[in-house]
Amino acid sequence: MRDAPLLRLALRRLRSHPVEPLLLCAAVLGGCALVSAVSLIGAVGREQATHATLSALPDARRDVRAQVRYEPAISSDAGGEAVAAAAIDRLGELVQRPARVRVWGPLAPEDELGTRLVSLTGARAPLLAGRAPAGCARRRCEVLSLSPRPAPGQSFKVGATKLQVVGRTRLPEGVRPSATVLHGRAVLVSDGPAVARMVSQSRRFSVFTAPLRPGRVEGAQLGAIADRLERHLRRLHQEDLTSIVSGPVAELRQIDRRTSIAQRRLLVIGIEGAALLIAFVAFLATTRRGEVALGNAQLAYLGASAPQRLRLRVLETALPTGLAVAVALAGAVVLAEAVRTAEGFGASFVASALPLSTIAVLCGLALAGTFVAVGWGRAPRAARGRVGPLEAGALVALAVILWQASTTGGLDPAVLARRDAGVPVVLFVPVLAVVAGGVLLLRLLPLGFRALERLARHGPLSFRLALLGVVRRPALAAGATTFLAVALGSALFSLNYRTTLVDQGQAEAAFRAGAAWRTSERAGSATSVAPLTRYRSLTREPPTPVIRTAAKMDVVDDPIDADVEVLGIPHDRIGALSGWRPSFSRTTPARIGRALAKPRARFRGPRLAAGATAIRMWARAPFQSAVTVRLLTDGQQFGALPAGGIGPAWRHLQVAIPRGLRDATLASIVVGGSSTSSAATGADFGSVQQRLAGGRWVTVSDLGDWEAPDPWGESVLVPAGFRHGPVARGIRVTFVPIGVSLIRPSFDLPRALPALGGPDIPRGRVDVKIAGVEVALDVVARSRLLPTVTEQPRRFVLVDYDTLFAYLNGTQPGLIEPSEAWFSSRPPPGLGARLRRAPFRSAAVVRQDEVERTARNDRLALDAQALLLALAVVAALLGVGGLLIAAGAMVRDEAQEQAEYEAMGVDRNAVVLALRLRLAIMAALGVAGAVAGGVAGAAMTASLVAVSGAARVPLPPIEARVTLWSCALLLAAVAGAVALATARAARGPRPSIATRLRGT
Amino acid sequence: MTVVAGRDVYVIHRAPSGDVAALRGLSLTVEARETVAVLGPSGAGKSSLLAACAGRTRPSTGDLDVLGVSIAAAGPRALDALRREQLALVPQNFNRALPRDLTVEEIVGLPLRLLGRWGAAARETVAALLRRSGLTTRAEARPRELSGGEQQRVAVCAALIKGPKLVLADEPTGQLDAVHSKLVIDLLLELSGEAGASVLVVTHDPAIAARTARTVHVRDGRVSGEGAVEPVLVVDRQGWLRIPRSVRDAAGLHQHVRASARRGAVVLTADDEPAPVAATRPPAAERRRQVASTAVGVEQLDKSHGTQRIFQALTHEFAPGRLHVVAGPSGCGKTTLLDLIAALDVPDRGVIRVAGEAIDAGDALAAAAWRRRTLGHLSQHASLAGTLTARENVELGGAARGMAPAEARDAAERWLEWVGLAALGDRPAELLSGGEQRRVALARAVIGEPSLIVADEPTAHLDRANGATVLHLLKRAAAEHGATVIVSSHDPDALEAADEVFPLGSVGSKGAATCSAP
Repeated sequence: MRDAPLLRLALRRLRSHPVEPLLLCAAVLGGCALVSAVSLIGAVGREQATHATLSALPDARRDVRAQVRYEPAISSDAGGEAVAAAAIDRLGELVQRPARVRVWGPLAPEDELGTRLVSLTGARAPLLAGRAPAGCARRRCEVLSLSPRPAPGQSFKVGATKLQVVGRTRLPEGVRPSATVLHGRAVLVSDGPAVARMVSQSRRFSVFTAPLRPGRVEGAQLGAIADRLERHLRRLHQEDLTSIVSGPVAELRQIDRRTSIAQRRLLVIGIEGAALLIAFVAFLATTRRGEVALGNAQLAYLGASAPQRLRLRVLETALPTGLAVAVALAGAVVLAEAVRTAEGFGASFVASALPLSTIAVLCGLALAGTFVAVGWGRAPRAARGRVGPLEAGALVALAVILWQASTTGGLDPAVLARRDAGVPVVLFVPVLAVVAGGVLLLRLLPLGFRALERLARHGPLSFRLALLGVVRRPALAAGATTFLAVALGSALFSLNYRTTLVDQGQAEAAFRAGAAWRTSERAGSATSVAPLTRYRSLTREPPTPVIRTAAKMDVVDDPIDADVEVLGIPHDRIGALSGWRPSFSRTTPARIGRALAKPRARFRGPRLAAGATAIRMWARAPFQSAVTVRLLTDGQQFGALPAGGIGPAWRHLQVAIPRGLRDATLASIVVGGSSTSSAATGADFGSVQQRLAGGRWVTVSDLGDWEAPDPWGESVLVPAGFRHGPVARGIRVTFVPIGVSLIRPSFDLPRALPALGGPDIPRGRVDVKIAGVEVALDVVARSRLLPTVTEQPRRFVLVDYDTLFAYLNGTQPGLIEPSEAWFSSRPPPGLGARLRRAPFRSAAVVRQDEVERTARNDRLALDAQALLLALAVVAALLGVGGLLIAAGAMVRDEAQEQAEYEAMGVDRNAVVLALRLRLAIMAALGVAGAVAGGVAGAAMTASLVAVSGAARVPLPPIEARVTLWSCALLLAAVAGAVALATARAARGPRPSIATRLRGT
Repeated sequence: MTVVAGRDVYVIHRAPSGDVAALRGLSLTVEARETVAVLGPSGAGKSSLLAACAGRTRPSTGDLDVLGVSIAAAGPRALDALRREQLALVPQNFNRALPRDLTVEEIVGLPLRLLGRWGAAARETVAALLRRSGLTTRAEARPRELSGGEQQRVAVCAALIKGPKLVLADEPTGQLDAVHSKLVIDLLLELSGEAGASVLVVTHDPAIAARTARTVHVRDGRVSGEGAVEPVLVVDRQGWLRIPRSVRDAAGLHQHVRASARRGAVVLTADDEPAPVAATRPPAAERRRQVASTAVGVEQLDKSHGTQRIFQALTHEFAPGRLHVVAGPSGCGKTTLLDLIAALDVPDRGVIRVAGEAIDAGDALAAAAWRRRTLGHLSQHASLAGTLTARENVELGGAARGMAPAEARDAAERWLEWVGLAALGDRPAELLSGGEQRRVALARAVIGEPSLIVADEPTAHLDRANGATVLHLLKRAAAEHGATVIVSSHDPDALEAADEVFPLGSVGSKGAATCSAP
């Protein structure tokens, strides 16, 4: 073997000088361990995210479903069913045992809406009423009704068989066929020969439903599973063209895309961390240049050619780096296997944790470590203004940064978040910035040192010696300072990045919730949380009513109205909005609240007594009309009391007040029109009286201060005297016979509602249509974003709740009720369960703490934070370690010079002070560079968070954070290192001056 | 066959401070089996000539063929092959030639291993060489366990084991005493002769030059003469003629001469004012401070390095106002004695008195204060700050002794003038020649007007003229300043210049020294 002597020499040198190779091995091992850990973390995160996401999907989106049709008139057998069953079987453990629903054609073929038989196998239908059926025996079958009719107790005959309905049931949500298959009346029967006889000539649909098992889906195999599922579904459809097949292929692909992007991005962050360790290798190599040069010279004298010397150096460095990679790889495999066993992941997990890309990166790290150790260990050629590979690399790095910043919008977090690229170039920007900044620093520092040394010539001797030492070995000092700046800058950057991630999670949660918690409930087709008084059973805090509704807005030059989200929040609550940022608007929330209350309206009316049990009034109308009294409760709920019909003759209307509406506000009296029109032309009313406890009637309102609102303002309400009527005085109202005819207590409504508009809402007068009502808005302020508005974050208006409530209900009382209830105190225990029970209507709740917890507990996010923290710690340790190594190298390299100074009469304390000053100068410059770089890098973190997060547009936008405490901590660490290094130099055992003078 | 053929060779080094022409039109031929000594002052271009012959530096212009390979035109591979197979390089500093991690046997055998010629025959060759060089018993030793002479012999064996065609030796005995020098040069010439190799050896030592077949004198990057005792001056192709200093001094020639020619002769007549005397006088302040109280006495001094005893009961008195040379073979403790006198090391036993005061090197602060007051120390490896000018380097010495900046500046001017380098005060130290650097280091050492000057091998690595200048300055410091000057050296010129020689070891016995070195 040609290189055997070189190998032997390399091994001998490694054994004789183990410190350098050990450090090299440790650095590369650290880099490899970091990348392996990141890869493993990414794989674990992928598995868990896959499982969690699939589990959170509604059943319908997880189901593999096949619907086949059998027409006895066309085909002789039911082969389609077998094909579908077999196809689902082929998916094996991935899916649960399929449920099959058979729906036969109507028993009376001519009546499509007639009763049909349905059977269910593989799942259970809950018994809602009656009893469980006994099945079929002889010519009698017991069945369950799946529709209001036939009702339990009914029976009917199919051929010779009598079907007896014994109860009511419904098909489970996940297996229910589509409405086109299961419509009209249906009964559930037990499948069997009896049923087969009954429907032997009937067509039927069979629906197979097999939900995907989240626990059986391996994150690493998502793509393959999606492919397999798609293949099977396509094949099934091809085998039976009448079949309708579906499966969660799109969902799987989406999860695959998201998790694989996150995994790749995590890997890139890991690689960047490893790059720092490679920089450490470069720095180490710099400190050993003298020894390497001596070794090369020795070999050259002995006849070793330049390639031989290079091969020897490569061998010397490749052995430790190769060993590091081997150890890291073996450790990673063992760890991945242990994690797989502990977490119960599938067999492919190890390959997923250590994919070829990771192994390639590890090998790349070994190569980079070797290359850097060899390259940086060589003495630089002395030449001025030379553009070497380092400078070229820095220029390229700068060019990439500029290109990203200026042309592609690649540093815009929103743009980045929308991109699908797995590894956007921006992820490399930090390392490129470090390269560019590092080279710049490396080249500028010697000039700076020289200038400092000139300035210090009249200074104290120790200061002179300190700077003279730097100037005599500028490469080492510049290298150490640059490495310190790079390492500490990386640590600061990582900490800032992490803080930004954490803060962003909190900010997003606060933005999404807007309050500590808020609820909304479906009430029929509308959303309403009224009556708000129900929430007293949950918390002592009175709920803040909020209206959230959609509106249409005219857009100039666009025939289609734009959708706008309208939010009505009490003006005095706007100042306490969670998730608000000063950057949203130039106006503070408190001032916005005050602005929205000028002018302000409030729905008012006479209040019924708490003990009032009935109300009454005299009324008449030119035409037959129905009178309804509307009340508004304290819980912001409108109640309607039909008081009866009226005609041309006076009628005394009396209506009892239900218990829930006592103590309410009299909101309006609606006069319904004839059967052909909902509007009335007019009516006369006497005063409204209430019956108090004890049967005494007292007047609530004489209606004299009421008004008859309509959009055109043409209805007229005037006091009137009725000479021959049962009441002498009252009111007469003349309606515009369009829309709803009503009278209500009078209160002022502004012509235009003061509003806060989103970026797409113009300032000034804006007309929107809310629930069919034209509403004029006066946009007095604008905001970039508004907490809780996430669907269309640029198109929203915010108005005062009371004003909006009065405005909308002013013309149609009961048109709108509060759609959300907001709370600022901590959610009560068991909130979710309590909201699912009466009197609540399965209220949906958004809790800030839960949103925050979900974001915080996201495995990938957690892993990224842990990784960044680890990176920061490693970088800081490397920086401090580098300083200590530099101090050691200086003491070693300058031993002879220092001995000369001592021989001249300089005392040892002055020499140590010089070393201390020099380290302090280097540390100060390094820390300054690190802080500058770290703070400058922090501005970039917003972009990075956008791409390394969940690959979605973040709301609110990411704001970079700078952690001052981390700067202080790093400063303390560096100061400690300087003190330690100099203390070691001052107090450690040292050879005599004579020994050092001889250089031995 | 011509082994080295150089014609009008220029070598220009590019340095951060500017370009430096090391060779300026040098022409030289070396025939097969010829042994050539290259003599010349420091900075004359001797080492550059060797580096160019070894293909480590390419001629900037001119032709240089070595063993038929054009150094200027050959590719890196060809030069590598030339060095690996046909050239032997023997360095001045054996530290630079011997890997610290290998044994003597491995070092000597490594060139053959690198050539792929390792085998039983090669092992036998290594063993034979070690026998020839007297290193058989040290075959398993590593370089740090060997003396300087042994290490240089190992370097010679390692260089010559492959049977080269040309041996390039750069002051191979520069760090050795006379005894070891002879051993090494004998070995070098014998082995070269047996291998049939030509030898080009750079040296300052006329004794070595006398052993070679031919002597070439190099000055200012050109061959200035040939011949050992009275060299024949060479007029180069451009017409340049370098007149040796000795000839100029004898003729009283300075900067300007008038030349007249007649058939077969060129007559040069001095046309200068007499040289100013003041420049060579010591500063007035120094002359006034002549004292006779800095006698240095060592009494019953014991010193060991590890298990090796250097002195035992060494006693001697160094009188003030005299140049003392401590002589002796390598390893005999010359430098150690000087270190002890300079309070740079602590004796195991015994007392050192300077001007009657016992020196306690164990008290670091007191010793430093004493050195500031009393001592001027010139180290063998004295290194100047290359980026500082000569003046700034000397000023730094003043600052180290507690002088105010203005005072240090004035003193630096005076002492630079004293060492004859006032004109070069603003030149960066890295651009000064070796001899000039040594004089700047001397000025830096004496800027505090010390009463005791200690110089370790002050003429090492200097050519004879520069060495003589340094010795002359030291002698003047003793005679005119009244300082006690103690110098360690094995340089015959130093011994000749000494007012008193204190031999250690086998050189002689003038005092009560014992020495364990051979």
